[in-house]
Amino acid sequence: MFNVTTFAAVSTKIRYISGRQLNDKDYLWMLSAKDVQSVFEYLKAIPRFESLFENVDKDHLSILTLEVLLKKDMLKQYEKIKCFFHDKEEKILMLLLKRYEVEDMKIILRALFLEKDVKSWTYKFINSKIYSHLNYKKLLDSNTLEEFIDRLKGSPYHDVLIMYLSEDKKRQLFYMEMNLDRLYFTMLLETIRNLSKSEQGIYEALCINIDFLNFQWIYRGKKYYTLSSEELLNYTLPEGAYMDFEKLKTLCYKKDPVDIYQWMENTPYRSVFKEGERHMEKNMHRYLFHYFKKINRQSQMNWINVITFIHEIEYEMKDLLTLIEGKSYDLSSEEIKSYLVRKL
Amino acid sequence: MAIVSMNLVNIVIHKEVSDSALKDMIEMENLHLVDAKAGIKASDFMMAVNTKHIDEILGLSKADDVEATHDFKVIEGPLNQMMDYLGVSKEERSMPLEAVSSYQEIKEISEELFKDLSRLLQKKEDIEKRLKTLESLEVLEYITESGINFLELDQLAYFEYSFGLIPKEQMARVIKNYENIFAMILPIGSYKNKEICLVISMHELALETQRILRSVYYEAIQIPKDLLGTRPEMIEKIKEEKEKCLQLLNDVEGTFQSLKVDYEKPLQEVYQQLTLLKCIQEIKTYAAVSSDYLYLTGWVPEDETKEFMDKLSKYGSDVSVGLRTSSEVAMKPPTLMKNKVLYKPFETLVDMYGTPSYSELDPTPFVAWAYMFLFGAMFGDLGQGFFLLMVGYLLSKKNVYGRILKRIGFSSMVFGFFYDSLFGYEHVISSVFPSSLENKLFFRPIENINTMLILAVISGLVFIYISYFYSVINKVKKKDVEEGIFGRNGLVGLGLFTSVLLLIAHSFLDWTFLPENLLKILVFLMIVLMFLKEPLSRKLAKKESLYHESASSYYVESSFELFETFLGMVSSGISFIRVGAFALNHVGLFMAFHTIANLIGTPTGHVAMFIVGNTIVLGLEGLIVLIQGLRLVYYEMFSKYYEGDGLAFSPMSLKKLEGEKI
Repeated sequence: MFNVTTFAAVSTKIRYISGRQLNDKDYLWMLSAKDVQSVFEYLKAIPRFESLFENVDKDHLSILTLEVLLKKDMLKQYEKIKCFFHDKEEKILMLLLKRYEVEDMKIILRALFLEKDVKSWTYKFINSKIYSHLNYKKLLDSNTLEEFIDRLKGSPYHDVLIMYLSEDKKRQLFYMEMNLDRLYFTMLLETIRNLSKSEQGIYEALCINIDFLNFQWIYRGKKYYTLSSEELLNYTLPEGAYMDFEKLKTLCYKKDPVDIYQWMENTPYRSVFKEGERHMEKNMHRYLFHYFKKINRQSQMNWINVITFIHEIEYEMKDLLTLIEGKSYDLSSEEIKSYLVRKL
Repeated sequence: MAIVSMNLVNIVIHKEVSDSALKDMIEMENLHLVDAKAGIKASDFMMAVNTKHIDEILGLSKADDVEATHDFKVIEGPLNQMMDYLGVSKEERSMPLEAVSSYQEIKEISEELFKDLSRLLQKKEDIEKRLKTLESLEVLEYITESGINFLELDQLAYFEYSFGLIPKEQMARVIKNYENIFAMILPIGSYKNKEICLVISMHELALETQRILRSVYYEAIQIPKDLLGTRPEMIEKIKEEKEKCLQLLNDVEGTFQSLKVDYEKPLQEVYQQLTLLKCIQEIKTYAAVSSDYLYLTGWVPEDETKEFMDKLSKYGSDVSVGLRTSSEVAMKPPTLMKNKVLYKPFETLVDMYGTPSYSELDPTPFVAWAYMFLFGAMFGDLGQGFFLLMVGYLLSKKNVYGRILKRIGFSSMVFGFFYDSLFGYEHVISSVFPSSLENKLFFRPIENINTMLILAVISGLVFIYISYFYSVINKVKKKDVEEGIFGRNGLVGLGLFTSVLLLIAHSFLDWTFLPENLLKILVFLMIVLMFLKEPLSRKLAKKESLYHESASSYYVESSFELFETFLGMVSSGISFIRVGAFALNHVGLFMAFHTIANLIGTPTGHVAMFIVGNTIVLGLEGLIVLIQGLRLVYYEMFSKYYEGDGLAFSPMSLKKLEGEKI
């Protein structure tokens, strides 16, 4: 009963927005288009994107502009459902959207680490207030990592990042990024663990995600940063869907990264790893995408609808960007297809 | 009792006297500034044109933005900190402000003042830091392992030690993989869901150990060297040290208090000077400047213009003022309402809807009477009204809503008296009076339900008529012929409303002073006039086209508008029935409580129901009636005649700036 009152309106809204999403036919048309401009023209003719691209000149179109616009559109869709949530539910939704804040922090960290000028990047985070209370303007005004971390005082990120300020430069960014994810997923795990039984599907999806994260940390930590096995094991998150502590320990104490990858090929996630490392991340998204679709079909009016929706919108943006980027590099439609999250 | 007339002043100030002249203007608190540059650009800046002002006029052509502002935060930050620490009030206004100090002067004075204070503040912070470290060491008391000597551990030649906390779930993971870790991680106690750990590793493996510890959220606890020893020794030392620190902190606080006497006045002075300087700076953002002059434009209330001019006359030719009345300029003046004490608090209710525009009638007196009447009629009770009056009286010193409460409380008392209702008990007031007077003096709503409802509608009609009156005057003042004469809230609307009312009276009450057919003709005529309002008014104004859009769309719109007018007439009249209904409801609710009290049947039950009933009625019904009264004023009356799109008169003053807090 409680779920019905909370989710009835938002589920209707989600159904309406989902109905306006791009379908397989749209993707196939765009894949067969002759160039980026034609794709752009096609999108512009779709009512949903009409106002978004209204003032964009197709001859001066850059991937960066498009990325910002599509992200803006994605957040606009989230904003549309945000007003349906209050109190505890609003907090959960905000936590779900906080992932974008974590991603933003990683982008800024990476830029500062590579000594890029982030001051002019405000436009990239223009809609950040939908999911964040941080002062982006102030953060982007930072000249150094130290300054950036200092300006994060009061947010949970500060305490996590400050520990790695004196770390060896070669490993510093990996530590920081990994710990931001670790912090976020720990918070998410604590919240989602307490949801009702009917929403068990979300907990399971999160556990799959944890498996992917743990694997990535161990694999990258070993292959590129030579982190000690003890340390890696401690960093891993608990409650993975398949990989318990013992399995993680086995993985962490494998000497060769190739062995780690091969070990994963013999798990239930083999479809993620069979196409090789280049397609691994996309396949992780694809795995989750199908998982969400499956649980969404079996559920009604609960958090599963909302989380599936959030992911669908995000994957749509990812696929559109991949498609346009592929077109701009003149890749064949078959090759572009292989990089898309959705299977066409 | 109306909206105050305004004069527009264009002021040119020589830069040499600018700070002093601006200070005078701030003190007078009667200049509402507007952007001078916009006026200059539009060639709307007036000053006396004669040879004396030739420099000012020449400067006008070069007038530009004001120069960069000072960074007040440099002084504000420490000043606020000092004042807060010493508990120096920022409200003290007894000292007259002397001549304006420059930013540099204020900065130097404040730096001199801060010298001693910041030294003391630093000392205080150091002690507090030390205290915090000592407090973090309370964890020592939770160590269950008794034989540890931290001094000995610190002196180890080939090993390093560390002492801290690890979350329990992370500790469990460490233990599961303990065989692979090249350090001794010894759990020696438990503290707030965390394990207290002693970590010992070889010097060569210290970095690796630190990394592992970091990955399990290890929080190291630093022990100052002078406290090292065995656990009991350390606990003893910490206790002593804590007492010493607290004593020192006490001494510092004492010194602060003694300093307050010497520093209070100078700090307040700096604060005031800084506020004044900020205010001057704020004014300058509205100004345009040339090399020698500062140009300002603003509105001054007409009755204060003489005082304003007199005060500035002491600067002679350094300050020249060009004066125009509001009718001579195109710019929209700000609105300042001046009302009698009785009406004054109701300005807040008017402002809540919107500030009246300069050319509108001030609706405050009408709102005051209407709101007091409506509240009293709906919530008439001598006792409860008295309670509201008292609460209002207590709140009124600090809060404008308290002053409103006082007035409506009194109104409730008046109505309560005639309703013969005292804290929900009827027939109590009347028992004091001779029975011959009872029927003449008192009117109990519950005994006269129909009369009460009819009276409510009649009072509503009176309010609607007054609203029409306001509407016509406002529209005439705005020279809006279309709405003022032919509009639904104009003369034709008034005529239609009256004719329809008379027609209803004729049909239902068989009473009229005009023949029915004439009334029907009048209604028809008014409908036609209202229907043709745009072409008629355009014809009268001798405009070329009769419609601002195509004729067909005008008539479609107009027919819908007409339908809505009739609907509005019926609904707004009936809407006032709620006044009677709430008066009945008030009695009805009490009747329910009296019944419950009778059912309980004991004196305690009666007292309890008396308290519960009155509390609920006051809280719940009082709130509803407050809102309903406001709804009638806003929706049924304001929507007829009031636009409220004016700009509130907001003169530059220290109070205004302090409202924003420096």
